[in-house]
Amino acid sequence: MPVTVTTGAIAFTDIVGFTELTDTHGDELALALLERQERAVRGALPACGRIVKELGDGLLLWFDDAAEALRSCLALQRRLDEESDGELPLWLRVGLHWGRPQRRGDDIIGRDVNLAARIVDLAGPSEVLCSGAVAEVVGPLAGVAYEPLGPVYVRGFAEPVPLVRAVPA
Amino acid sequence: MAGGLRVRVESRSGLVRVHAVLDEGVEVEGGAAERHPDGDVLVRGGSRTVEVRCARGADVVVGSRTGSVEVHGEPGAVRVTCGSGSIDVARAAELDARTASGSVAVHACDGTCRVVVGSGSVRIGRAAHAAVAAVSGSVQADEVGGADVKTVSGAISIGARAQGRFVARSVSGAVEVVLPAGCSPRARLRSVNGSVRAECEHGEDGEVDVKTVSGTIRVRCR
Repeated sequence: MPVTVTTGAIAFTDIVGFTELTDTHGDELALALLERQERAVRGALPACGRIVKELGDGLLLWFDDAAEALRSCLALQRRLDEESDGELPLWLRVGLHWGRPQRRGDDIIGRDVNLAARIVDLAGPSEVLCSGAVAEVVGPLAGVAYEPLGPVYVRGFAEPVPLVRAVPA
Repeated sequence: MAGGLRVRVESRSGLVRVHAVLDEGVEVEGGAAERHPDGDVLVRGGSRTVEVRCARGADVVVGSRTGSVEVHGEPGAVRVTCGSGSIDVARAAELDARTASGSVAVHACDGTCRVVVGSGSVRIGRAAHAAVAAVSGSVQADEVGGADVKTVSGAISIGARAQGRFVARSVSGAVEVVLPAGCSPRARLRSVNGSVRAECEHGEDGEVDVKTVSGTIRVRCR
């Protein structure tokens, strides 16, 4: 299979508390949450974005454009907050990174994908955490504010990574 | 901020202890300090304990892989992120603290106290506003002017020091909100399967908005 290097934004979503929810409410609920997540994400994806694959209770997303990626992730969180009056809340956390992964078929792999996966580990429910690379590429963006969290060590990476919390301005 | 001073500490596995107690400057034991081109003082620790003394009012940013972090004295804004490890902050002008698998204790925060934990618990003494997210750990905020708390299964206890907006969401955790004596809030309390007890009069003294799936809800006055 041919492999190419591609530049873009990599996002991971993760359902907060999925293990606990599945344990207490059963597998049918797990499936329902996964479907709700996929529906919500598809509804928020711009033309330049796609779901790469499902990974456990999360999704790996790809965007050609960093600003569109950021806007879409924030719009996704806003939409889920507005919909959270259902019986069971769907709380997502999102980690976003800008990099140059290897593209292998429809899949993407490499250091930058791994880093995006680690960023989401530090996000809270309804949050969008970004690497400093995203903030640098996007720059000032109408309706978006960046709150720097500083240099952060993430599992498996030798050097600390600057992270920012992206919030609606 | 103390004359714009910001201290950034990077540590792999050692305990990080920051004391914002000096009149000016930065002193470091157990790590190396350098002035970053952007003006920040950058302290690099390793696997040993690093002790940093800095000026009162300085902003403090700590990134630790696995070590715990303590912040003492009178810093400005504090941001602490740990892969795993506990966080203990005596006081901050404002705070963002997050750890994937440790607990967080905050004694006093003059502004917004934002805490994100994975499996650990959260204890906040006094804060203008508490914005907290936890999964299985409990959240206790003793004296807060406002709160927005989410847990999956951890219990939530919010003590209001004045009228404000207190929002709590949990799936299976029990939620208790304790308001000042004689307070009559706008209360919106909903639980799908858990019991709901509102022991305050309904009124216009702030807002309490609680929703759980199976956790019990209790709102009372002191």
